[in-house]
Amino acid sequence: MDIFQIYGRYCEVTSETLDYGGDGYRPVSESKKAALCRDALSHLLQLVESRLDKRVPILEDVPMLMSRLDLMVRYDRLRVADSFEFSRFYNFVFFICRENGQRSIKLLEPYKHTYLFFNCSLAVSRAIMAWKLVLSGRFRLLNQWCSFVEKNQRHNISEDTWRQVLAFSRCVHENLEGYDPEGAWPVLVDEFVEHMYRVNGSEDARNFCCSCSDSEIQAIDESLPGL
Amino acid sequence: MNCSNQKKRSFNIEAFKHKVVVDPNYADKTWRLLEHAIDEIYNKNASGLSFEELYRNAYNMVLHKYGEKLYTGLVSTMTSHLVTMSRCIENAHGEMFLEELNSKWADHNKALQMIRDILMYMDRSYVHGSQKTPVHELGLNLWRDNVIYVTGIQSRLQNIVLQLIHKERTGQIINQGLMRNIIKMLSDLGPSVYQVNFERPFLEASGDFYSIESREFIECCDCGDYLQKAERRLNEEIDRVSHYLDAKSEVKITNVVEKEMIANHMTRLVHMEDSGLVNMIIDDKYEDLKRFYNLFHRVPNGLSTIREVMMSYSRETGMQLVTDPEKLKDPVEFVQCLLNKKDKYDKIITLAFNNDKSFQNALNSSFEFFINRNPRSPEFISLFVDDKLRKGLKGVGEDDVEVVLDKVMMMFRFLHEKDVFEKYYKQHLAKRLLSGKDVSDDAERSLILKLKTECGYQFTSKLEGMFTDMKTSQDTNDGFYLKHGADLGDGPSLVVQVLTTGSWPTQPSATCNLPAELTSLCDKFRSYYLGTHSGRRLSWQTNMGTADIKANFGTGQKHELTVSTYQMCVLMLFNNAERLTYKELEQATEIPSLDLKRCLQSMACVKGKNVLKKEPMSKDIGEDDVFSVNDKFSSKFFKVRIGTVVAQKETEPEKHETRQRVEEDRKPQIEAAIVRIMKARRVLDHNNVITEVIKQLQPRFLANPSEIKKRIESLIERDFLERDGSDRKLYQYLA
Repeated sequence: MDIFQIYGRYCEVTSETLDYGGDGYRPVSESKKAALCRDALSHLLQLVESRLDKRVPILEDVPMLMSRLDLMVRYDRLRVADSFEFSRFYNFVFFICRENGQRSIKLLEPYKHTYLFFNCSLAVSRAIMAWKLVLSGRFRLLNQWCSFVEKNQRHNISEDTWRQVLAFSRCVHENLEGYDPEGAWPVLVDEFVEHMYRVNGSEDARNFCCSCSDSEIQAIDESLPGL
Repeated sequence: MNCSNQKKRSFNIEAFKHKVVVDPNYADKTWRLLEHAIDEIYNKNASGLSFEELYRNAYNMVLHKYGEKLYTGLVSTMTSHLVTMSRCIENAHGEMFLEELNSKWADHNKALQMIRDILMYMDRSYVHGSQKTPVHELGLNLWRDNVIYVTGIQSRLQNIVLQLIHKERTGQIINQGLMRNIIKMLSDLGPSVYQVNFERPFLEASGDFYSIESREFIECCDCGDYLQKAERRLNEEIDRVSHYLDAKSEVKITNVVEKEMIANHMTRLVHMEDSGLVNMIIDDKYEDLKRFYNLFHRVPNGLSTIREVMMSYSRETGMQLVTDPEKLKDPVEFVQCLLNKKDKYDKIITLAFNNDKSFQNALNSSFEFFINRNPRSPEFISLFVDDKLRKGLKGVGEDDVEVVLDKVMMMFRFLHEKDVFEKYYKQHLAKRLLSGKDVSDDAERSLILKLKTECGYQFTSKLEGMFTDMKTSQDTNDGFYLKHGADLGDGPSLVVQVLTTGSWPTQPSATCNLPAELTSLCDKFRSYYLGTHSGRRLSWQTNMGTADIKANFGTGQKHELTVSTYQMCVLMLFNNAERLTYKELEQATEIPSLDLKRCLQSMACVKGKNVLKKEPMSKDIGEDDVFSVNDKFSSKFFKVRIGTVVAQKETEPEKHETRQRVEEDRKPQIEAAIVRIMKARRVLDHNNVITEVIKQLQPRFLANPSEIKKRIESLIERDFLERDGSDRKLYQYLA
């Protein structure tokens, strides 16, 4: 089972739910569907784990998948239509990279019910690696982001944080314009923005831009040999 | 049938054929009669006239359609009389002018009355039918046009009246009766005459007068005097209206005074140096403040100005108080200052500010503002209560206790972090209960009841549990001694307080080594207790206990020492040893080093309580110090209390630790609030979740938005919530 097959299966499972996710309120049957989807995904993950003995190589397969999916950033064209495709791919990266799906039983105080769930998170180092790989050229503050996370984040990266980083990369400019402090960002993103404000006055925004485009070229160059 | 026909014919009514001959001069003749009568009336010679005759004549004239002649005749006759009168008035000099005007007005009125009576029929039919002005009104109009509006009179009248009022304002006596008549005349002539010829110029003149006067006053008076003067002026004007002006003028003239004397100088008055509002507040000048309130109440924005100043001043001084490092040294003093401050302002609001709700609210909000600016306020308030309940309330009547406790509750209400208060309160209560003796049970319970009414059952259930534990422990001890008392001999006696885990602020601490004399006793108790309560676990909290020990010193002195359990353990070691080093003590007792140092310090370094000697002598305990019993110890008391567990201000690290515990405790509360809200709403956007959570937790503490955010993330991670697929700011509740 190679990465293309896994991705194909992943798309199958998720597209069913994504079809429903659109309109706000989710009836009970659909939340059941979501649960089914989660089950299917965990099943898939177990399958992946049993077939592949090492997790690291799979991250190295990602560029291959990217090129096959035609998701690399090109200078000649910046597709708008690929945003959905890319989101799915981005989420998929989290899915295959995440920590060994430890089952853990935790007690949530107010309800005293026992809940069973996956501890879906990504070790910081692995997350940074993955970000550098998939977001290069898509996130103008990628380098700053990664070094910030490296220095300041001690806990694992949760799935929600992972997903919100993509949203953040899409709506924020290099001078942090477009960031709304009330915007329901994960705390890590808030802290990052605060850190950026602290480190640079807004005058430095232009410098940012330059260094960013440099890093983009670099990142792409690096990924080329992998093709 | 026939019969009736005949009858009908016999009645024939013939018209009245007499011709009424009208004297062609009738109208003229009659009018002359009436004109003469009018002249006589104006000449005050009416006694010889016959009302009946005149009325009949006037009646007949109208009846014979000579109404118009009668009416125009009346107009011209009356006019000529009035012209004469006005000439008389014009010729009057100086003070006589008003007198003359007044008497002529009276004459005219009297004449008018009579004329109207005579011409009553004309008023009713002709005037009514041809829509002319009725006689009385006609008389007034003619007076207005021929007397009041005459150039020589109009401006003169106005000036004289205004002059007289000015005279009165400057303290001279004027003829108020005359003024009343004149002003009454003007208002009788119609509201427009009153307004144009008197009220408007009067208000203008008053405005000028008070504008000048207020400027003079404000330069030379302090704020209190100024307000007194303004108040007096205002009352004078109100009196003036009631004495001789039209009642409708009251609002207008008071408005003028208010505007000129108060509104125009509002800021200057409020902020007047050395005597302004702030100084009045400082000096508790209730009378002046009351005046301030009453006068400013009358002008727009007046009260809000006072309120702002009071609020900002109380805020400012409050901030000084809560940030003053000197005050922070003594928590009890700190809270007492707050209470005094509150009392002071409460008194001002009650006595001077009419118990105005908006002022109370402003005061409360400024207290809430600055009390919470000091993060230690909850701790200090609890310490204050502790101090009061320990000693302050002894010998104080029950009502006074309630008063103090109510005040404390008021402070409590201002706190944002009620959970922090609860935490400290629990700690302090535990110490009070465990140290035993002088706890006032009633006061304690009364305060808990207050907390319960304020915050609900949850807030106090654990505190109440502590009281229950105390009671149960008493019974357990009694039971223990009933059963084992006989075989214990005269060894040490043990009083055990069994504290329910969770209700008490116990910290997991290592049990120290108890002296051999006690261990067996403790074991006996343990087996007794577990015998009656199977399935429980007992662990000794040696850090919380106290002990009374008898000590014989070298000089033959005997004392009873009240010490903590730790101190007791240390002292007991000296029964078998002369000198012990710090290390040895630490090894033998296994008391945590920080606590050991503290208890040694209180036994060796405090004068009057130094039952131990330390080498070398110094303030601090070193690792290499050597201790021995101080044989020269003496005290004039038989009972000596050493280092009792009085609640004290926390040290920095302790404070930090408590803070962390509070933060930890808040997490599940925030999560519970989020889940409660989301469960009810199913879908809600981020900002609304934050506001709702803050609102829901308000009675306990102010939740920090970023902490709420973290909790939301954690709930997302645990699949309680998820973000909406299309709108990332929207959360969905996952059942």
